[in-house]
Amino acid sequence: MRNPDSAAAKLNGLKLEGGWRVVRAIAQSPSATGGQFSNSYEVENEDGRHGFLKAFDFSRAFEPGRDTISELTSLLAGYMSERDILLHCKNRHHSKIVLPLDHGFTQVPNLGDQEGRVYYLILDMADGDIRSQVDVVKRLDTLSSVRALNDICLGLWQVHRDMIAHQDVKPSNVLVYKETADFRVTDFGCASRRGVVAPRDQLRFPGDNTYAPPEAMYGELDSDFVKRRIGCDLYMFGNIACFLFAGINVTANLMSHLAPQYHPGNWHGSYQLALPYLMNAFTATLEDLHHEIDEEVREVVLRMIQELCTPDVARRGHSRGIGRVSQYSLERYVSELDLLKRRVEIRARLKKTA
Amino acid sequence: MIIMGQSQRRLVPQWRRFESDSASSEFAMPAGTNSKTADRGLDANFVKRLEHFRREPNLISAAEVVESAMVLGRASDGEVIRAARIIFRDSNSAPLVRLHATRLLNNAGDLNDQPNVALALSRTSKLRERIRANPLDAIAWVDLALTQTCSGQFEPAKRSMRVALNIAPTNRLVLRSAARLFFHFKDYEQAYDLVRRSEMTRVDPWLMAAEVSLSAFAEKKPRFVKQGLQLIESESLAPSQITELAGSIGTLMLVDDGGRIGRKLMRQSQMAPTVNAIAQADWISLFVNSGVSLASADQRTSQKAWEALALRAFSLEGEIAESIRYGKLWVDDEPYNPVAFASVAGAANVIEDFAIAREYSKRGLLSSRNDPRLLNAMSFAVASIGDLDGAEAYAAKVPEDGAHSLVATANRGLIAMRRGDMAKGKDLYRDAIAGFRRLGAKEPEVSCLLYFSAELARAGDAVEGRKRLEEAKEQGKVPKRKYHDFLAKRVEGQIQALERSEPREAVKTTNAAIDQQR
Repeated sequence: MRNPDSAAAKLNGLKLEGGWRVVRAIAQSPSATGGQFSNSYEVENEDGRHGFLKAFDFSRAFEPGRDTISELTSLLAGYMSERDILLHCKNRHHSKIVLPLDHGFTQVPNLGDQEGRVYYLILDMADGDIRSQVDVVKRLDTLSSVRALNDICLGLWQVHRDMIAHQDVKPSNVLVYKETADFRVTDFGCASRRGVVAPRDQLRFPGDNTYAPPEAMYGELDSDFVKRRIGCDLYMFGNIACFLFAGINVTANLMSHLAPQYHPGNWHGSYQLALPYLMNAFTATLEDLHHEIDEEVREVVLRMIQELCTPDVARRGHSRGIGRVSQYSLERYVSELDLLKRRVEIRARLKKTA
Repeated sequence: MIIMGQSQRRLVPQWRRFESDSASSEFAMPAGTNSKTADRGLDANFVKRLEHFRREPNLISAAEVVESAMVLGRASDGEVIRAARIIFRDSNSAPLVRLHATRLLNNAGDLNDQPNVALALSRTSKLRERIRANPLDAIAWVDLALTQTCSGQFEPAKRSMRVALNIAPTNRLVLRSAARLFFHFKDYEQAYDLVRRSEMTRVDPWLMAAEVSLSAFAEKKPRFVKQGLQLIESESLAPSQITELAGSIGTLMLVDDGGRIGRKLMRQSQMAPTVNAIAQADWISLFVNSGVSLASADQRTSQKAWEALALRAFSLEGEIAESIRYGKLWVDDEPYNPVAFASVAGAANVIEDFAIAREYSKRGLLSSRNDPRLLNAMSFAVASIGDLDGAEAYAAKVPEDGAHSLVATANRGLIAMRRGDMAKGKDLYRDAIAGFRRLGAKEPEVSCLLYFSAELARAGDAVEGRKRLEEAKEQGKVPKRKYHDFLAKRVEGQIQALERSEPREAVKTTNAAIDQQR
């Protein structure tokens, strides 16, 4: 996806506004969602603070045979959408979102005014993500997993209150900050905000298909922002809960329990007609998970996954909120997870002292 | 006394545990009914994950590739298999991640050298537990209704099915299973109405097929014949999607003397048939020329047509022991179907394996109380082992109308003769034979004549026994049934021995014939 000749690929060693210096290029995460053209760098401030720089690559718009104006409009819109959402989160002091430290543009030397201009965002540098949950040795323990879940829930709830849907919540977009011992949600490149047109809004599913909710895979697109986009976040949050405790995602497990004829690529009926088969596969998924989730948190986590990842969008959300305005709110889960975290912390402390 | 099969077979939906039937074409959605699903090209994220995996082949990159491949339906790609192998060999991989990789490798035939790999977590959970885990799983409710039906819990089974219908009222599997449940409880009207009233029946060939078939039992005029024919003629659906629709309408036409179109439809029904469609074609071929080549139809389905195989072995090939073996497999396949149980019990009665006959009659009666076929089979088996009061009690439960009551009459004849009341016994047999003759039911008439002849021989009346046997042979020429030949041969031996006044020889002949079949 990266163009090594683009200006965005030539930022190494450059000094940026705000006292930032580009230290080195970082290999792009394989889980960075497709369609985003960017390069990543580590940057350092004059006060020694490190940051992660995301340089937006607009060179594609100037490739032969492309409609430069429409491509450029779309790429710029993508950058501005992500930047504006992040700035909004920064203004709102959302603590569990990876916030921008700086943003702007720079000019790469020896390139023309147009082709050498690179727009960037500088974000807090993280220590890693949670993808290591597939490894039983390297994975987070139960307490850390509950903490991660609590932080992600809080982060999503914070943006949902502002009617922002992330739409790409997945293991590589949950970053670990060892210094502050917390977890934060990153990458708002696929996010949508109610009332504001985002460039990926027209897509069937803006995020990574591997983690997509089933209704999106079958092309069931609700016109209501909350049901379609916040509902999608709820599913993906449940997916993260599943990944944290079992190392798999619900979508993949659902598909593994479906006979090929019911897979989205082979199904030519409506989503409603496919729903009973998906619900049956979902039951099998819940059975699989039952054996994998630590007994200490099993009841709460399994219920959460059941409520959040149900393929029936109309029934998605906390059981006490079904049919109410608050159906797609994460507020109840924030409280429940906070309580669960405290319980697990106390038990861990008691175990240590015993 | 037996009657194998059914007097009025139609393509009524079959009902199986979803787990064992999930790959059947019966529940796939035919192309063209709705084209909302988007085209799925090569996913950009999948490509990126593959590139990353090529650069750094480790557990995390492999798990990401396998996960994406499973979601995107690309599980057979070469590199995906390589990624799955890395997970499979890494002892640090999380159990479910490993399970995914194992399933994928197994489907690709990559684990042939490792036969002891566990492909599933040990699932001890029962249906109730599954429903507790996800109460909105309509298919789990359907499965529960099936289990309840098989164990004789009829009201709970109906309640479970109603829950399933409330959760998924338009789903084909739920509707067809519900129709079968009500059909099983002989509530033909409700079974028919359920399908007829569904909004889906107007567009769904499988529901149209059920509507056409069930209308015969509900004594209603089918509504979807014209529409069904148009759908078949349009050739817009794959042959696997119209097999039962063509079979249903074809049966209707052949029964109503619409020979040419009926035969064409029956042939169409066998292009990519379900086992139900194969059994239907076999059944109708016993009575009319359906124009179907039966030998090859079952090679066009991945499932085994146990019903058709049992019927063929019994009626057309006279392989009674084989028929029992197939019948038992049919029972495993449709553990609520009284006809399946009756096929085993009936065939077991023919070779005088009364223990099997009793066992299958008893098991069948659990899910089909008062089914006349099973009551008759049980009555015959019980009488044959000497429990004449028990046999009388079973015969008394058979409803007093139709061919089944005539079988019960014949059984009463047998009971009376075994009690020594020859006159009453003969009268009852004669009544039964005359009754079959009035109904034009030649096959049971021949069976009845043969059993009457056997009882006469048993009682030492070689003259009338011979007379009845010859009559049976004459009547049994058309239609020819091989099990009649088997019975006739045995009775012939008994009578010849009697005619030579060698009662012991008669017993020997009987035993030799039975041993050969067993």
